[in-house]
Amino acid sequence: MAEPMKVRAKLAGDVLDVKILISHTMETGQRKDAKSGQVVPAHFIQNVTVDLNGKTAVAAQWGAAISKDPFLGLKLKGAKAGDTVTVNWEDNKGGKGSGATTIT
Amino acid sequence: MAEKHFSLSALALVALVVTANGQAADAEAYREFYPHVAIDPARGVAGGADAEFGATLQYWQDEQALEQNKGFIGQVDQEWKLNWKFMDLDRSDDMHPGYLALEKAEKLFKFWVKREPEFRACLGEGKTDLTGLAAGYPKYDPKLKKIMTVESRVEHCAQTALWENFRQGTPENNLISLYFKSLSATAPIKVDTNSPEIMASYKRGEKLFYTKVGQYNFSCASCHTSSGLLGQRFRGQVPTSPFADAAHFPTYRMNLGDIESLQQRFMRCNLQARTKGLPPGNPDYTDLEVFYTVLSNGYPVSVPSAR
Repeated sequence: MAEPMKVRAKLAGDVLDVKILISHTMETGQRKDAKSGQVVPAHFIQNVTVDLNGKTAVAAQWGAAISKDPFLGLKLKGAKAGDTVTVNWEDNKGGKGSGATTIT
Repeated sequence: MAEKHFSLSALALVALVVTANGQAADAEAYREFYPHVAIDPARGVAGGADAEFGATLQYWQDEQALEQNKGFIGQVDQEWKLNWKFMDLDRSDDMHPGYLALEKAEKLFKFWVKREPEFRACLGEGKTDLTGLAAGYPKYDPKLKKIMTVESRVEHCAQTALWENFRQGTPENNLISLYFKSLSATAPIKVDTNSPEIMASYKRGEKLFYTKVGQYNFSCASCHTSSGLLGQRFRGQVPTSPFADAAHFPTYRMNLGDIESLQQRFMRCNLQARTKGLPPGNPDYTDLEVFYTVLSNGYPVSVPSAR
């Protein structure tokens, strides 16, 4: 998936503030196409993992209720400058995406 | 030849009927008007009697004022006083979907410019550097003898340079308009209020702002002035002041999940007030856009934005 994705991580004291913006259609499977009248097939992110230096810090199971172009914000303890934050997601059609950033 | 004569005389007949009924047709379109409020178009954002428009200008008129009153954010009865301008505070932090749309827009623009370099020159009216140009829109184009908005310029240039039909309100038009306007981000809006054509359009737009229409008999002013609903909750939200409201369009609307132009916003606003909306690009909406943008004169363009 060539969808763009933004990851930002900023240290405030000993707490790491992570912001993640994912570009995804997040179709619920309930919506009908206005022209054809056919149900638009569900297409949404199911699993999201946020890793700090390769170790999973947050793992989330998402469903169809999450909005289009989801934004995820979280705070982590025990991070230091130079560490890497990696985000991976997988949707119900097998699509995958990832993004990473180095803490400054 | 005979056919031509026939159609000509038919035309003359139609013209006769129109002149005979002209008076009647005018009288038929009965309209009520909301009381006018004096606005000085030469003074842009500060041109209104502030008390008539929520008395909030002091809280959001510039970045400093916004920073000072940051404490209002999140407080239900205070937040609206910032005229929702605090949503543009994150300019340095590209973490809202408006930026995702901008990336897509840039790709689309570069794709078309690579194919037809003339497209860029058409958008810039001869100039190839588009930086800051969109802040001067809407403006009167003496060559086309029309008032051009950013969207109608994109539509025109797509037709002449690309041979593509990017009608106003289509995703392609919105994206390219978004990219074009983002090149003027932070530049103060400067609509030429000395141009007689712009001022004639402004006058028409001002009249439309106070014209009551539709099933509810609402005018724009019914919600966007203090004697109307500005300052009170309406559909769960407080309406904005019309001042500086054009600065962040085209914007990413969270509830649509898409980019929306100012004229599409007019259309949706009309529909919500149970009025038949007009298609984007309609001359009436252009007049209203001129009115709104003149009221934003001097305020920096904040595109991309999310609302």
